[in-house]
Amino acid sequence: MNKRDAIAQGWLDAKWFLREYDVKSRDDLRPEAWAYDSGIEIVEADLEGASAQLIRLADVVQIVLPTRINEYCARRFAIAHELYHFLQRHPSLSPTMMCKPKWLREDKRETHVFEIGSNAFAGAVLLPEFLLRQRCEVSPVSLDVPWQISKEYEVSILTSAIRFVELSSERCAAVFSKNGVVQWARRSKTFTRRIENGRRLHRDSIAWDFYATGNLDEREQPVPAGSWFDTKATVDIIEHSTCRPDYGTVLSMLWVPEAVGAQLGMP
Amino acid sequence: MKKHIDKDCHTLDMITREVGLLEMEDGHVTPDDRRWAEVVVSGMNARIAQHRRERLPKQVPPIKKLEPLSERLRAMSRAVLEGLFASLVEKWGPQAQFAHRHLDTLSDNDLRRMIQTIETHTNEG
Repeated sequence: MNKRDAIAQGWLDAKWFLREYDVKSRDDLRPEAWAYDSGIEIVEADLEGASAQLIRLADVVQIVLPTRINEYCARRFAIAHELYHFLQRHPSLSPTMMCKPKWLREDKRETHVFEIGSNAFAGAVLLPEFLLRQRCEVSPVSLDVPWQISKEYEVSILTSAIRFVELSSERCAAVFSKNGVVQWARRSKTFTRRIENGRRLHRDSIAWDFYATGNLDEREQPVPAGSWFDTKATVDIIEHSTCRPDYGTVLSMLWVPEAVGAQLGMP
Repeated sequence: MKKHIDKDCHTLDMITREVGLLEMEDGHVTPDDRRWAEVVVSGMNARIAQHRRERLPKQVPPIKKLEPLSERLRAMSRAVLEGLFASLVEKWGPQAQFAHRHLDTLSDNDLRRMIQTIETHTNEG
């Protein structure tokens, strides 16, 4: 299974899962209760090397949440993520691999795909398409709707921004950067230009200002398209960025308005 | 009450069996039959889902903090811990499943924690 298939499967399973629990509204989204119903105990410990853990020993199943992560949004996501590993009975790493540090562990492609699938499931089950699709069909695009969704559905702004671009038909992308370097980018189906992981932020982007000055103007603004991806077209796109000074990270929502879409190869 | 349910189930089993036998003799299925069956299945699935949602607890038990690590495990070195962990995992075989989100490096205490959990349930088993 490749990355794309894992995501598609995660979404599909989320759809079935929501149907199985007769989810009709925001109030029905209860990851802790779903875990409880599956016979899973949620516990807390000083977990240092991971942001959540699933342990199943025959009928005994625990999701371990680290004490250091106490943001409710992060915990909800972690529970949904581990629940999917449990429901799918994803195979474990061998003890030898588990004990190796990340830099020595050649992440098996298969294991990595399970993680991607679990993330896709968690995002889709906490932010159901049938409840949010319409809200994501907005123009102009900014971080405003993801912020609203984040608050209302108790998920992080990263989760809601990713889900937003998954559900929007506008040309938009959510880009997460740390220390001036792109960590990941998620694009809507219509945003067809790639933004590579590991790319250094361009000085013409708004996000760059945060790393250069420590300040960020958190309003949507036009920036040259070339500051985010390779293009010869001298047109502007819209960037709306927000930062977490405590983590040294920036989340940027990019939007290509219809008027410049064709010039950027996104008709 | 249980006896009553058992009797009902037994009656349903008998009827289902007889209908099944009849269908085997004359198993003609019309498009109307199929439509009816689809409606029955989707209706039942909807009722089961509703029931599943309604039986979810209004309040889930509070998240419990795990017990402190034992002195015995605290005294073990990394190499001993890794050996013990591998032997416990082998003992449980496919009945054991582990997954980590954003797995970086399992610290010594993470290993001790996993071993303590496994040993607790190994002893209970």
